[in-house]
Amino acid sequence: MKKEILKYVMLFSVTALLFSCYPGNDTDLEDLDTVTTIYKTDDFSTPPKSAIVIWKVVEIKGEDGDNIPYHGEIDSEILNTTLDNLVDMYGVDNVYIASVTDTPSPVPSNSNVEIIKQHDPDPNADMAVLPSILLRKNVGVGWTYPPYWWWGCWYCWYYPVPYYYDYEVGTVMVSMKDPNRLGNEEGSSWTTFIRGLLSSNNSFNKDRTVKGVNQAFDQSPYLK
Amino acid sequence: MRKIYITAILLIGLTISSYAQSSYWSLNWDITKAAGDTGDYIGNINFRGVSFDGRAFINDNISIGGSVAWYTLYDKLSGLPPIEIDNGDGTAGHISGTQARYLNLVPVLINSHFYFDSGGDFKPYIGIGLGGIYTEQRTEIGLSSFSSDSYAFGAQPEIGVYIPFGYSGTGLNLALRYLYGTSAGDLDSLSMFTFAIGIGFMN
Repeated sequence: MKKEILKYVMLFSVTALLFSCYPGNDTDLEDLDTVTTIYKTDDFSTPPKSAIVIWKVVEIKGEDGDNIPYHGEIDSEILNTTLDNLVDMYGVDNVYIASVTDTPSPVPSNSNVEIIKQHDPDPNADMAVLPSILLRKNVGVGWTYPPYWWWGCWYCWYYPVPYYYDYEVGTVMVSMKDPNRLGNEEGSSWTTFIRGLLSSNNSFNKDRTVKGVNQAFDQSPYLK
Repeated sequence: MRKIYITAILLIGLTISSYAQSSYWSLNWDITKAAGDTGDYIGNINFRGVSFDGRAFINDNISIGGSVAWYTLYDKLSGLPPIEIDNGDGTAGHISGTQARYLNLVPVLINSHFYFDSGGDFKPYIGIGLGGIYTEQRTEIGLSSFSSDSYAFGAQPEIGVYIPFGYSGTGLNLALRYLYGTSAGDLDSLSMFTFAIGIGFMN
C-alpha cells in the first residue's frame, strides 16, 4: 500500500515539476520585436532606381483620443536610418528629401541629399517613402490622412497611409509607393511593420528602431 | 483424480514461484536531445520530460507493457533568416525576429523488454516500443505564431538498467532511448535521444 502511495506521490511531483518549468516565462521585451515586410511582387519586376523620403513621421492616432504619448522621440532614427539605407541602395544623387520647411527637422544624417521643398520642381523619383508610427492599437484595415499641411504641395498630397489589422501600439511603418499613385487607395508597393518599438527607455527605443529599419531593408533585396 | 489435482496445483505453484517478479513500474525524468530534422529545429538539450512505464513479466527475462511520456522541447533563437510569407494574392514578404520554438511530444507506446542475468541484484535490459506519437510544433515570432500538429507512427529502442535500493522492491531506473517518428502532416520525421532517470518499482 505504501508503495502504491509512493508511486502516485512521485507521479504528481514530477508532473507538477514539469508544469512549473514549462517554457514561456523568460521573454525579454526585445524578443517580441518583429520586422515584417510585405510587397507587391508585380511592382518590383523592375526595381526602382530613385526615391524621395517624405521628411515627416505621420502619427496615426485613434479618434477616441486614447493614444500613447509620443513627441517624436524616435523620429530621427526612423527617418535617418531609412535615408541611409536608401542612399546605400540608390546612391546619394538618386535620393531626395521632401520637406515643407527650408531646414528639414530632424536634421538629415546625410547633408549631400537634395532637399525638395513645396514649390521646387518634381524630381520624378520612382518611389515615395512614407514613414509613420501607430499611437493607438488598430483593429481593422483602413486609411488615415496626414496633416493638412501637405495639401497644396506639388504632389497635391494628401496621400493616405494604410494601416492594418491588429498592429500594436508603437509599431513603426515605412511604406513605398509610386508618387504618381499617391492619391489613390490601392495600397503601397512595399511596407514594413517594425513592431513594438516604444518602451519607457528612449535610448533602448532608438537602438531598436535603427536595428529594425536596417533589418527591413536587409530582408528586402528586391528593392534594388 | 485427487493426485492429478494436487500435481496440477503444485505445477502451477512452481511455475508462478519460478518468476522472480511479476511487474515493473517506473516513473522517470527524461532529458532529451533531438537529432536529424528535429535537431535542426531545436538543437539544444532539454530537461523538460517525464515518462511513465508499466511492464508485466511473462517469464524471468521478458516483459510486455506500455509507456506514456510527455516531452517539451524549447529553444529561443535570434539572428535567423526571415521566414517567407506568400499571401497568394500577388503580395509576398518576410517576417524576422527572435524565434521561440516549441515541440510538445506525447508518445504512447506498447513495449517489450528482455532482461539479462547480471549475476547480481541489478537488471540490465533492452527493449523496443511501438505506437503513436502526438507532436505539436509551434514557432512564435513576436506575437505571431505558426503551429502545426500531427499523429505519427513511432518506434523506440531502449537500453537500461534497474538498480535496486538494497533488498527493497524499489530502485533506480536508468535508460537510454532513441525515439523515431514517421513524417506526418506538415511535420518532418522525428528523431530524438532520451536519457531517463527515475524510480523503479519491482513487484
